[in-house]
Amino acid sequence: MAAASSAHLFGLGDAQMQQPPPPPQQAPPPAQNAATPAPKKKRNQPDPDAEVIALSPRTLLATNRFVCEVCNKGFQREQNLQLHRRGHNLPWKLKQKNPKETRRRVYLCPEPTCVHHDPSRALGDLTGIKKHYCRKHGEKKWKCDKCNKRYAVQSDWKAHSKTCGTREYRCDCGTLFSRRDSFITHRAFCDALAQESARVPSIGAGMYGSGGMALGLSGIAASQLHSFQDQAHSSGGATAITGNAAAQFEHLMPSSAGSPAFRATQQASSSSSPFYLGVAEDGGHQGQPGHTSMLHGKPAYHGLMQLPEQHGQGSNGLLNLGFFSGANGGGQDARLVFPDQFNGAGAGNGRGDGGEHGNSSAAGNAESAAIFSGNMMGNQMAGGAGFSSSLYNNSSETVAPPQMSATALLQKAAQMGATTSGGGAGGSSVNSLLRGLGGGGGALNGRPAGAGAGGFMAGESSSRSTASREESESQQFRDLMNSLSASGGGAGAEFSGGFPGVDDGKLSTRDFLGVGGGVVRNMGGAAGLAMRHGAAGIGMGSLDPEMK
Amino acid sequence: MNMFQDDVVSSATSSPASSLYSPSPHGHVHGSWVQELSQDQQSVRLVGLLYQCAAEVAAGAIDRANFYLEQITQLASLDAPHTLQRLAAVFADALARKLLNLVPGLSRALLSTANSAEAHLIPAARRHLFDMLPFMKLAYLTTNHAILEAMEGEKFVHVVDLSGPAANPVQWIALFHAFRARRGGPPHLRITAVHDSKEFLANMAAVLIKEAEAFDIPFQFTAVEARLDELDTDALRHNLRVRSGEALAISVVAQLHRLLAADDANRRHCLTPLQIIARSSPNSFGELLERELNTRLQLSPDASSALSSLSPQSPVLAAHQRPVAKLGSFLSAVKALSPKIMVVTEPEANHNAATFQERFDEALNYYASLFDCLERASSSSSAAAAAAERARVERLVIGEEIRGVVAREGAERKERHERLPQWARRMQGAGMEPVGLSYGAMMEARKLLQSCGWGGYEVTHDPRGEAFFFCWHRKPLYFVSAWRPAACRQSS
Repeated sequence: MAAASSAHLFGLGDAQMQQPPPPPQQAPPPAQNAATPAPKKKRNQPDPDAEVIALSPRTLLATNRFVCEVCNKGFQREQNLQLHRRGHNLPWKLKQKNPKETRRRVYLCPEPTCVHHDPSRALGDLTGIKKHYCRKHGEKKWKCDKCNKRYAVQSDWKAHSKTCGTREYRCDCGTLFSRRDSFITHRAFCDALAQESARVPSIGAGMYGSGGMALGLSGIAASQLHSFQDQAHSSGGATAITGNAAAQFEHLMPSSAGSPAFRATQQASSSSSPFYLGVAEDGGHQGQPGHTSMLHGKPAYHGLMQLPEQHGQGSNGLLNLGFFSGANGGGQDARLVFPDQFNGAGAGNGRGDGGEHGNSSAAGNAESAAIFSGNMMGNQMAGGAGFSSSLYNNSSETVAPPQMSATALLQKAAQMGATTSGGGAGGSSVNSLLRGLGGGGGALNGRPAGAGAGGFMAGESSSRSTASREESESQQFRDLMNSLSASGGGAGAEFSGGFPGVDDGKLSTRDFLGVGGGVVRNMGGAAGLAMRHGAAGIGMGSLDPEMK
Repeated sequence: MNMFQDDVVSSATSSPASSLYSPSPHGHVHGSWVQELSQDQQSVRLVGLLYQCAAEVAAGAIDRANFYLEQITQLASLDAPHTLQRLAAVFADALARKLLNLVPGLSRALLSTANSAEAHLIPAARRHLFDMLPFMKLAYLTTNHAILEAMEGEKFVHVVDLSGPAANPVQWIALFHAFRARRGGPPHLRITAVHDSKEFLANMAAVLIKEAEAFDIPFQFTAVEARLDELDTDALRHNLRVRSGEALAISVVAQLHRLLAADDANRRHCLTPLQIIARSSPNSFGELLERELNTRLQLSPDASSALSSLSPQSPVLAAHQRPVAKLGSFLSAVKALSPKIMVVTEPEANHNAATFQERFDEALNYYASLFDCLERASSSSSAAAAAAERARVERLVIGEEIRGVVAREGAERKERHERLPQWARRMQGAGMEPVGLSYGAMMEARKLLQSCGWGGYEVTHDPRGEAFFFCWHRKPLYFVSAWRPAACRQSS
């Protein structure tokens, strides 16, 4: 059965999300209708049955996501790797195609502002979307030696190189143009510039500014959230669960890292929260522990994604370790590392819980975001996820020395300022500590949880959930995990990767209260709303009783 | 910012992190904590310090503001590697100047010499700014496009360039191109430029005349040596050499806000000697003294306006007779000239808020974005020269703007940027109506961004599609909007 989801939010990543266009077969959760302004009507839906696939930029651009562990050869597709593994006499497994589901596939541009990000304008072939994405939103890596014109797609560059110079416009400054209009635009500014620069030494405008995606982050991230919202709206009604639950789980984790970054926007997008449930079909990448988080790391949502990647690589050096592993691994560590700080943040959590009532999980999320940053501050001030993401971004993608943009730092400071005063107001009783953890669980864990809660559970109150968290045991959590991994096929490995602390015993227990509770709740909620997911994962219903 | 003040109060009891974040102002200061903090911690702390300092400056508390400035200067400097550090240094400079303005004699004596020493570098720095950021180019391009469309079919065109320091002959050369390429050939073109530098005007004239000859465009250039805010609005027609029979276009880039300057703070922020003693003595005696002073004057200790009545020159009453900004009379004079179009580019920021702290907050965020743009521009070319250029731009051009927002008061505060909706209200109030900018203009602007490879920038338009925003990572930093006298409607 088709998965409907606008999974973008989280994990989306690389998981291939299938988004059958809006008019959903399932009845949408009621709460969501009230909150969502009427979903955008699609015009000219070409093929309503087409399977809409949203790929993250990383996945889209990846040349060898799937690497053979024996010979390190990389493959673009899971299936190819599996076939290759056969050659090594390694166990291999091809993804079964459901014969009923051989549908046309259309692909979305991962850039949220792009018209092709809308399912109704999806492009029909994978190569096409790749080129589109590179051309329109990518870095222009290929430079013509003759005219310095840059291209993002190698084949464009090759084609240009063949004709460059044969039909040209040359500006006095020496720049060559093959098109008259760009020549004119350039020349208008170039002339006077040249004259004045004779007097004033300066570097030509053209030399500055290299395009690129490595920019900054917070701005991008925020705006992307907006478009998630749009996405959510446009993909209309129902959210269903497909794929295996493990994938979903996996989404829960990394996304927690992102939540603080998006605090503001999430508030704005509260109505779309039901869609946040990151559902991934795609058993494929999960078979590769360690790699998974990386894949996740890639989507346009830098904020969300980069963190997991870092976690996956175990190279947390840049920032506070506790925070990172916590954020990526599911929030447990983060919270455990500096439980004291929760005293301060307790108040914030409390509010967060309240906010989660009804469908307004976004409000809750927003609060929890604040909490999160509170944690971090307590720990080391190393940063709200938004910042850490930008930091990470910078360090990984920009040539510039790793530094956060002044804008990001200002936001970070503002966030921390807010949390601090909130903390000052809050009590520091054990109770609030616990509640804080619980709240944090929902929150850290996620956005996910938040998503789940908002979407599925509509009106479930989190005061209840806090209670249930307190009751739940890490054992239960393990059970949950076991059952998930059992049914999830290759997902087992991944889980252990995702939850490094699971078997560490006492230390993590408290944490699991939060995490377990949050997760359970979501699952339960899902079942309660009679959302049936397909064959692939585990029955949600079965989880429900177990966890409660 | 209240939250930061709260910090101070709660720092003793809450987590160590928050005390690290906001030191108690009367705690002992050591340099050692600086080294203990990571870069990002320092940055976050720096922001906190800036806000705290701004609060103290607003309250006129020299002693406490000085305390924060000391800390800020430990963390920030104009040539620091971190964008935020440089930004903080510029803001600290502005805050210090504002503080110094409490003692106007000192301020004038010190700062006038400091400013003039580097004055000769400013034109070059402006050039670099023009090169490094796309905003001015986008503004010129969009302005030209709007002019071109408004002047369709006109045979005699007079363009008035009121951009002053933000003017650049490049804009008009581009217009030559555009006019020459239009159907029906170029018009007779006259350009009148208003600028306060004779040298600049001479250069502009030479450049444009030569270019117009090359393009074979009938062209006349008129130089008006003046500043926009000093133009006599009663004789605007004469000053701008407006002739009947010519279609008039007015271009004003990042200057119109100067006309909002009014002597609204004519309460001089001066201190009595006794107050200076009170504010500068670090111990409880100072506070005691000040409290005593304040009670005697029946003032609340923290209201910044409290200072107003302390100054002998300015009775409180003056606040009610505040002179109106010049903009109103200017706009009505412009309207009387019945231009076909008036294109206005302004920073999209509200640096004209009523209270100092609002202005400070907005400015800090706005200029952080601009600094990020500059950082981005200079980091992509590795040459050390680029960093030096950027430093000059930050200090001399943008820094001057920041000082204009933060340090100055009253009629001296010329950098009164406001957002598009506020401007739209003002323009409409003056009897102007918006002229929609065309899709073609949008495409041109985007093409310019693309052709120069500027990443992170974009051009968007307002909901009604009448004005454009030039954004850096979604944050609109400038807007362009076009206007004409509302009466124009029937004729066009």
